[in-house]
Amino acid sequence: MAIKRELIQFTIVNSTDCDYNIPMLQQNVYSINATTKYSWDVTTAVLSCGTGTIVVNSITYPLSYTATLTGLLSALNALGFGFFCTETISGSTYIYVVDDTNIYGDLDLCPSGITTTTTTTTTTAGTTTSTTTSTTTGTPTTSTTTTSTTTTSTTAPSTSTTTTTTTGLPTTSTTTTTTTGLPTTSTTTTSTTAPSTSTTTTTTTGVPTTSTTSTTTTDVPTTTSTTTSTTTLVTCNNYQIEGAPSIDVEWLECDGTTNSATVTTAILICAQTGSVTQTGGAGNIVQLGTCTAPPTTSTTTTTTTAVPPTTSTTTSTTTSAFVTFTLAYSNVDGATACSNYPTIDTTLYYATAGSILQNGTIIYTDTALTTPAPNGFYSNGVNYWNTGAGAGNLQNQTSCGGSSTTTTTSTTTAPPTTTSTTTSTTTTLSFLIGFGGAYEDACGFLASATVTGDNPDFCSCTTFTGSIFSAAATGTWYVSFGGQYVSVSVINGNPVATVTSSCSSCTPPTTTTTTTTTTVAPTTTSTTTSTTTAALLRTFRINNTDTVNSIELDVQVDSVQVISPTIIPSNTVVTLTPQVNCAGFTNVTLEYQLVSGYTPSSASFSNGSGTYTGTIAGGFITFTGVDLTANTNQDLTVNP
Amino acid sequence: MAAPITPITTTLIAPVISVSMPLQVSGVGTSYSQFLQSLGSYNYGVEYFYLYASTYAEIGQPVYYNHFDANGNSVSVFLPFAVDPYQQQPALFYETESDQIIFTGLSSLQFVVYAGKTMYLKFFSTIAYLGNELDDRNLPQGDNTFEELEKAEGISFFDDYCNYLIDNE
Repeated sequence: MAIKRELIQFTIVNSTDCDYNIPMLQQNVYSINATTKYSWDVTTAVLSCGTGTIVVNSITYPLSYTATLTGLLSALNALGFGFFCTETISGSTYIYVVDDTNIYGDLDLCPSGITTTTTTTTTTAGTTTSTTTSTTTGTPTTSTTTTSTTTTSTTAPSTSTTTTTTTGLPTTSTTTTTTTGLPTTSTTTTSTTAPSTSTTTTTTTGVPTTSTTSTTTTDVPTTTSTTTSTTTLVTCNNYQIEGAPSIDVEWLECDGTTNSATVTTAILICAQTGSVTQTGGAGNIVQLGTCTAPPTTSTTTTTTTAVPPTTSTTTSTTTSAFVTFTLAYSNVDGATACSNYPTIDTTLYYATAGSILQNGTIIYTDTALTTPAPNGFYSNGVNYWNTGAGAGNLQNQTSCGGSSTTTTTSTTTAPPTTTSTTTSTTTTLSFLIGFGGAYEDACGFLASATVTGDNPDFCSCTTFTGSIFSAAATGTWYVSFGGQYVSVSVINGNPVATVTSSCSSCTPPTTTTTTTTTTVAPTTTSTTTSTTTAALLRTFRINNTDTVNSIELDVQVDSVQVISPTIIPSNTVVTLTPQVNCAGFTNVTLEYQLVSGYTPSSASFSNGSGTYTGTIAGGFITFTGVDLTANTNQDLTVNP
Repeated sequence: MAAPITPITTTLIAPVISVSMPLQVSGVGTSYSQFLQSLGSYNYGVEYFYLYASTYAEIGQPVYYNHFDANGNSVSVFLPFAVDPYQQQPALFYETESDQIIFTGLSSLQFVVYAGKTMYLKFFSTIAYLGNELDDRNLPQGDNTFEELEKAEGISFFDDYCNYLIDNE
């Protein structure tokens, strides 16, 4: 028996922009090797309804697809007639199929119209400052009492009294301003010489919240107006009426009533002048003298009640905030808590303002002081406590061991007073310093090391010796200790740094301004303004719009470096958040050092205080007169 | 309501999706269409697959084989054309039994041909065709049809004729 074997070869070419699942060796696949092309222009077609129809071989086939062009292609391919694809020609988008056998007709997308439902949800973040001004203005009450007395006597005058009393309700304006200051930082440094242990405890004390409520009450003047008028109503005369033999007459009495009579003899009446008329008969009507002559009196009395003095009350309430402690936690024992500090299970805990770490202090895990710390052992590296006796209640203070030889405490309390206390119990020349290229870095202990001074008092040292100085680059650096810092001159390779400035405080001073203006009645205004200065975070957002060049920026504020040189790639926005003492900096020179050889065409700096145009010269972009106090993004835009 | 879109009909010079077979040495090749039309008269039992493309993704995909007969019986299987991590060329060589993958015109081999790509598919197959019945029919005597005819006629005209045909085909 002969068995024939053969090598069969195919080359499959797909020159479209679409992927196809091609059934090879299947008959009646008409898109393969076909050259008759059908194209539909779908540039302006709306696909959002997800339905449509297409005519193939004079038969209309429904389409149901995901409302995208890709979904439409999938639905068309699923019909099984040909392979559909898209192409863009001269800005127009086409769907096409190549098929020599099937005849294609109209493509109808969304034939029954489109229903569009748009739901917009806007979430607006709340603000942190709330000022409530409440003004209550009462609606004046107007009371009008009209008393009218008419005397029926023909000679009596008519008296009319009108009293109008307008009583205004007092206007009450209440303005409540709550100012919450930034927390201050208290650093306690304990150095132990034997064994060599260094412990740093940073306590952040929340600034008391000051709430000022001003209430101004302005009374509306009370005005009373009384008008009394007395007016003679009419003039009356005596009339003699005589019938001849009889006469009918009518007249008005002095009180205004009508009267009539048939007179056969003579009568005398008192009637309003000119009101006597003959209505029948015959006779004589003779006007005699007046029968009433009342005087006319008019009296107007106006009384204005003076406005009472305005009462203004200003109440200031100071509410304490919280203090924080950095403590290590252990649920095993106190020794473990001691050893955990400050790297393992060490975090911030909160206590009521004024609290210190001692038995009886209750520590919390939240600033609202509502969630007590869980039971267990807590340590600050020096002592440990357990809270087994109660939720968050520190008890059984026990030393972690070792002997403390030097304790330096610097505490900055909340405004308005600053107290700095330094207590040295043992003379030592060793300091655990903060070190950096800027005083903020040094104060923030960006780098730290133990160095030896030439005086037990940090601020009295003229030199410091330590390996950290020999490793640093030659130049001016900053050293901090106990909330104070000095600048030092460093020579690379030399462990001795020379102090080049006097001591300065790491914490800027606090300024409190109170202005009270009182105006005599009817208005009293009381204004209290407090300004607290503290180290603030400012976000410097740098936008490099150069699509080709990267830039290197070195941010300095008043010649103090706050951001080390940073490369910003082309066409990139970089956000940097250094800690800058911005409060009170209303006239700052801001410098951005440029990478060598790069000179942008222009640069602008903007924040909530305004927009500034930079001067580009000498490798720097310099902005002068910048107000950095706005607590917003500090945006720098550099244009190529 | 959107208006229907009427298609624009054009005739291309070359197809955008093409399947071709290489020219024979003589220069006269068989088209893919002709090959499809021959299926049924010539049936192919595939013994070896060879797949070549420009990327590993193209050859590493599972290939779907579907076969059904006139009674509606269907056999579907995915051929696991997996790429070895150490192979250096985007090509696959896959061995099958000749009675497992059969092309008769009622079967197909589906795989994705990516946009703008070219793939090469080759297979070595056993061919069953109408004429080989004469070649392959075994008689009780153990000879084929031609040999039996020569014996009956007392001639040897067809000696090795079948082998000649095979060798020169």
